[in-house]
Amino acid sequence: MQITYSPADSALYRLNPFIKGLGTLFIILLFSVTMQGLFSLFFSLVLTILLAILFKVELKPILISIEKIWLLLLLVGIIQGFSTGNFNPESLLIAVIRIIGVFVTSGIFVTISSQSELMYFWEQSFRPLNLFGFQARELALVMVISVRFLPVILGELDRIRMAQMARGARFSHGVGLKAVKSLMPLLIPTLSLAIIRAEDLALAMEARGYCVSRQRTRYNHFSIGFFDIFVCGIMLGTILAYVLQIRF
Amino acid sequence: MILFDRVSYRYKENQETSFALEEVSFSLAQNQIIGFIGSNGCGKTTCARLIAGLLKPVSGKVTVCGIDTASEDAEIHRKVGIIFQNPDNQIVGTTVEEDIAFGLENLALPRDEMQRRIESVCRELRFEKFLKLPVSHLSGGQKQQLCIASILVMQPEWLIFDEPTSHLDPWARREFYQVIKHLIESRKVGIIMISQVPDDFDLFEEIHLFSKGRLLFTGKPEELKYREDLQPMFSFPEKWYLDRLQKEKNDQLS
Ligand SMILES: Nc1ncnc2c1ncn2[C@@H]1O[C@H](COP(=O)(O)OP(=O)(O)OP(=O)(O)O)[C@@H](O)[C@H]1O
Ligand SMILES: [Mg+2]
Repeated sequence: MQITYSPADSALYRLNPFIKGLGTLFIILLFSVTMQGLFSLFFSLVLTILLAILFKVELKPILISIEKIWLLLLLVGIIQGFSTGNFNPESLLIAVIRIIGVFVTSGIFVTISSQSELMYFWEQSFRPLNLFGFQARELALVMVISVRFLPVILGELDRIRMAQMARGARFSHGVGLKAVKSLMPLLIPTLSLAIIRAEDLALAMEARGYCVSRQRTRYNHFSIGFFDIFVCGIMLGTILAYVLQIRF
Repeated sequence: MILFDRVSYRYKENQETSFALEEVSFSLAQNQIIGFIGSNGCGKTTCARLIAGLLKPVSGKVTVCGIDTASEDAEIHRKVGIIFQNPDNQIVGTTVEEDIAFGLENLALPRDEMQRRIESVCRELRFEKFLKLPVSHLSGGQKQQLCIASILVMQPEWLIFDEPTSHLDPWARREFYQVIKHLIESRKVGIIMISQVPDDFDLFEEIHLFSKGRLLFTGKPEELKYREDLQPMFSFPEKWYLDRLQKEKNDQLS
């Protein structure tokens, strides 16, 4: 199962794409940079998942995909676990929950945002760069294509793994460097396939009249509603509370 | 009208000998199904991309509906719609509706015009029920139909299909041809179909046979059937071979 846009009807889905993206960034920061204890991190993760269920987000593909990043979890967990010299299981768990939190939050963002919403979000975010002569559109396009192809690439990875296993390759579930090394033969064909796909897509987009520098119109219009302001309020409130808690 | 005037194309600029197409000339008229056939790597896809203005000829001139494709005229993309081999690599949107709207957004149409066109094309292809679905929920054949819908809303004058039936089962293939027949009856459009499936050949009203970057034959399928001199360059479908034997037998009898 792939993590891709899966439409549903809820207030979360109807959020303005920009607020969606901002909220995602906010929660990712919450998981990754704030100084929290194990309990509070775990609570945040559970709360995120509960809220997602409440707003009808299809979580199954995301939770299943956590298995695909086990290697990353293991590596970072072990490094963090030993960070203070001798082994500390709490640091290990904290690191693992942080990564899972970031992963689940990004997964939810991809699940609730359609391509035009993502495009809108990135275009708005990169807009200040226009002042420095960067093309916001072009950057937005790159971001959208990478998000669009992430699930395809993961699927491809599985397919190539099977094809290579059918030809006698062994992928030992070793630990550390050994595991990384055994994944290398998968990486090259996966990347080259991804590049071919991206080239094809770019060609197809050009054939349908897409041109970065030309003016286009939008099929979907996005407005700011009550819930958007509410979400902004919650984010501001949390930031304020966090800053105050650090100061005093 | 599509005109190829001694068109050459090569992928690697610096290699003088590596021609994908070499001095190919032909003209295509609208309102018929034109078939491009030939073995792997003979230049069919290259030819299609040249027509769609996605590649520019190294020498010679490609003219489509009066537009020289070498000029940077974006109008060419409105005149020619192209559907590639793999539907997965050409769907831009995450929902059906979004993907169909993508081309219209590029044409900078107002929203109600977009809506009108999307509705009418989806009604025509009986695709309305899929409109709100995410693309990942479609089958291969439905994805291909989505690609057709996405192109049709742009109201092109030419439609190019690059091996559209190679990954369809026989039933889906028949359905596909019904759609094509309907298209050609309901609007003024020229259809170019690249195919290696022998069953398709009989449906073409005009065939262009390519071999190693050159155009070997242009004409009706019936003519090609009896061109034994082309046998070494192209593996004829079994059925044609039998037809030919039958005809020889008939000739001997009479
Ligand atoms: N992107 C590319 N870069 C370099 N060479 C290419 C590229 N695409 C095609 N070629 C070469 O150009 C020639 C013609 O290719 P083309 O794709 O037009 O063939 P085709 O008739 O469509 O074949 P097929 O039936 O396999 O699709 C081939 O020899 C191929 O190797
Ligand atoms: Mg081809």
